[in-house]
Amino acid sequence: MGLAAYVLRPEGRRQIAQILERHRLHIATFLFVVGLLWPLGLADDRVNEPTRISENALMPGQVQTYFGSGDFKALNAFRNEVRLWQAGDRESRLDSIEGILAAAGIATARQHYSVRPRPDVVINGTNIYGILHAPRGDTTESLALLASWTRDRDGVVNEGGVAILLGLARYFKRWGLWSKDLIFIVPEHQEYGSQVWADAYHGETPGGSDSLVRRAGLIQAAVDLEFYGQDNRFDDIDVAYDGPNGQLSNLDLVNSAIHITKHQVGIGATVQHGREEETWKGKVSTLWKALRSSAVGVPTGSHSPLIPYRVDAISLRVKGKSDGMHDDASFGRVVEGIVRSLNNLLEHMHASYFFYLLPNTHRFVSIASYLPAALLMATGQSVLAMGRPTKDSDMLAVGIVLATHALGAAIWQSANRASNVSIAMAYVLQIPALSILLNKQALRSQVDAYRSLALGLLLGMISALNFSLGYVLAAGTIVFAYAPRLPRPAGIVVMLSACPALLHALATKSGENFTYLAAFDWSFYHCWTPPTILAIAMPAWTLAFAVVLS
Amino acid sequence: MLVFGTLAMLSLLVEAGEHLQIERLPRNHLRFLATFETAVEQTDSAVFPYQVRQLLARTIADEVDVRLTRGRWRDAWGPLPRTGSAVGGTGAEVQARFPPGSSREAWISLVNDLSSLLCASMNYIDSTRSYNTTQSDGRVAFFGALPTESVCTENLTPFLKLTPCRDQAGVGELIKGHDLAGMDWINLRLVVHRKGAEKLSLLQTIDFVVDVERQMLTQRGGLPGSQRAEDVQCAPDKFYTTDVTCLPLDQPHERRIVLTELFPDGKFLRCPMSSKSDFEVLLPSGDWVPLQDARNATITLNPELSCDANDLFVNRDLVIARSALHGHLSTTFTNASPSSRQVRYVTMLPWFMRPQLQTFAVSGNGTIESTRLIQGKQRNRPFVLDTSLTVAPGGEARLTFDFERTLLRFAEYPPDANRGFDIPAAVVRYTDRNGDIKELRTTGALLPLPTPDFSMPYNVIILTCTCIALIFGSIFNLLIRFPARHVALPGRDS
Repeated sequence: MGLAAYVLRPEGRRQIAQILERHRLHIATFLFVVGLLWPLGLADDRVNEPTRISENALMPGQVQTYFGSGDFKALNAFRNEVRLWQAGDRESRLDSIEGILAAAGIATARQHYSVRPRPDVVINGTNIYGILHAPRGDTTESLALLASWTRDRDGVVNEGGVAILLGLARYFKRWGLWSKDLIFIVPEHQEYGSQVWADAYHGETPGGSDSLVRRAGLIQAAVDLEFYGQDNRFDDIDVAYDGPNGQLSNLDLVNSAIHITKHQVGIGATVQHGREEETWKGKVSTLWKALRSSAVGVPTGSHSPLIPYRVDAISLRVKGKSDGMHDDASFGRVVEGIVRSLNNLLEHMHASYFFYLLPNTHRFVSIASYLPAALLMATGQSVLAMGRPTKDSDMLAVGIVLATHALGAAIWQSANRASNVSIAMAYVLQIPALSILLNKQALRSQVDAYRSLALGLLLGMISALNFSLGYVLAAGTIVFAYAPRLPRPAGIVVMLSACPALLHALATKSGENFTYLAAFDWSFYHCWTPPTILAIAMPAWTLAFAVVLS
Repeated sequence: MLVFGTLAMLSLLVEAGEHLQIERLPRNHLRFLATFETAVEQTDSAVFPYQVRQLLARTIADEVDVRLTRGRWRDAWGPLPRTGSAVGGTGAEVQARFPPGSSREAWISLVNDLSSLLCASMNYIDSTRSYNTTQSDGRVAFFGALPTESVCTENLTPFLKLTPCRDQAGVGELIKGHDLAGMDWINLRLVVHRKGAEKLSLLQTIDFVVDVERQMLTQRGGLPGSQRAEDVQCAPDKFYTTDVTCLPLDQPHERRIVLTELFPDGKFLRCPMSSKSDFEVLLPSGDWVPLQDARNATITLNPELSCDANDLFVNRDLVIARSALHGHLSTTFTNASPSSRQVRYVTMLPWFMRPQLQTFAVSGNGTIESTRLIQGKQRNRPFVLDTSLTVAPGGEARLTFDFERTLLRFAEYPPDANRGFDIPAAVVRYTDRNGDIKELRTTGALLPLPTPDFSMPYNVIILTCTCIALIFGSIFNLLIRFPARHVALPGRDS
């Protein structure tokens, strides 16, 4: 009789509903397991596809690169200069950079800023940047090259990156073929500096930072050079492409960079610092690193802050030992090749994917293949809501779920002013209050049902915005479905170990500054992960915990 | 020889002249200003270019002014040549004056004719890219700009054809099409005047800037970016200097060049049509020399050279924040002179960039004298903002306003929609400290508009077809297949 006839008949529909309701736990478990394990399948070459260049204008690797042949003397000297600047103060360093760029005919400007990444730490810095105007250009579009001065994590100086950037500025000035202006930026701090610069370039100057006096139109793409430390030799280049909140650079840029590195200059390339292996295990590990980095959602390098402003950006990171196969000049040639490719662009990059996962440098998974992972788990949560007993207290249950989520949003709003303990108390105190309220079996089941319905809906939304965050949250909230069905002590232990805020604090190692960092990530890096945890995952956790307790 | 002799005879009947001025700019750049003038009394004179005469026969305009510009005039090069009145914004710019009461059709027809005359896309200057004002004498002045036009050899070739000796002799012969690729800035201008019925004049100028250092690198036959080791001077006071380590000083050093080095294919032949002075070339030393002698003239480039300071610097920035629909346009006027400057700023914005006048403000050391807005109309007319402001001496005034980006219809996007949309340069006029009226252009700008994914219709078609197939299959099934009646077979339950 066909499926349509079955669904069209009332008794057919009722039968389907009955089957779903009766087997909801089995169906949800099936969806959870399939969704959770889905990414493991993505590493298989029958699921992922070989990468390709979609934008014909890019033509990566089609030009000869000459950097280094006559410029290595200058490069060596710049390395010495960079070493010397570390002993001097900031002003003399900025003056020296300005001097080198001015000698090449590039006018510079500075930007002062101050950032408070922890309540008791204030970081002051000055970004310096110069613009090489394209001959016959009209300052309407540009490409950016970055090399930050120090790494935020440990203060190591980007000796190679800055020296090569200055060498390239001097070298690029001698070419007359540029169709776009070139901006050379030395942010003082890897992420703070470039975040402040990217914000200011796009008209946002939060407190403590200057606005920019020189600009060069729309930035079409950016390449960041990371060669930290004193060594001047290396083995491989890692291409970092992830921005905040799981936003990525266009796949064409990443592919071009990898292609030029591997096939033109002959340097090994990796992504996500993965081992470049053909094994399934290696690919799964690279995929997991990409997922984790996007889920945390904070910038992963100087290139990241530009990505939300529609600037495709990558970081090139050297890897390897001090006796590696390659030197500064080879690194410079990689950058030269990429910039020459980007110079060919007639339009903003749009032809290739913006949503993808890379299991290694030459295979990719498109959004159509990976999105079901998070959506299946979100559907699992929604299916669980089928078991709701229809009673008068329906509206009360909906009210309780909505109120808890509204309270979560309110707590998030006050997070930057509150201490860790008061935020923790704000959630924990809700649990006994709710469990007293949920004294009736029917109300308890209804609240549980609406909680998982709301969670399923919100997880679906998050997955569409930031797949990685959606996947990780969906995986972490699976236990909420089972804890109420366990014996009470076991349920309590499971719920305690699945607290989203606690797991986030452990994953980001934020510790005692949790609330401050959550607010900082949001206001400074525009990162959505903390509000998602505090206003979506935590209320769901409180409700589930209350159901376990009552 | 015979041909040139005949031409020389003809030249007595008309005024034709050409000259080339060469000036030094800082950092070993050279500025070339080539001027070609032709004026005739009788319209049937053979010297006056036939194409221009044809153009004038088809239009009622009294004055046509076309500017084709590529590149950006750098502040470091000092004031614009010819008081800036010959320079257009990037791309193509057309201005024309028509007799009182002329209609828009006359203008549209004129730009179409110009398009074929100069091999440029000026036919795209329709009503959405131009506006008109009525002058005090009742004449109608039209202004149109096409910032997307990329000026190149295909414009130079027809342009040179209109000069007195075409590209066969004289100054026009020196400028070859492929030289355009090495220039830092180029501006072509063509002005046609009609006084009464008989008197016609044609003025053409080619102004360009060459970076001699880079030009020499290329012409030495080496790789474009390569630098000879002996050309690099090492900083003397560095302890680390070795055979493989050398901090380059990179100061352009004094250089002497001969003009044949810059124009290696030039014949340096005098144009016999030129009836004016025999001295066509003005060297940076201030001497006028004949073109034949200029071939071996030596120019000494002094890297320490400084040029006259500008009185006014204008910098325009278009900022697109994270908001999808809004943008911000700010123009900074820096007055470097000791007295206050009256500045007139006229900017034409396409209809899809709606200025929000409530955000219109000036900050810093400036005051707005008057503002006039010619209201734009969707898909029809651009917005024109005409502001007069005074900038205090040594001060900086910042004129800012927000604008709203309008969504376009699907078919209104150009083929390269993802590049963004070119916004024409604004026109700035002011009186400098010597009382001369100066004109300059801001840079153009690129406005990104929300762009649909143009492969989407294809996806939609596929999805729709799938749905239709599913629905059709189900309904077809329902209509033609009947459930078999249950018949209890003997010997079986139910």
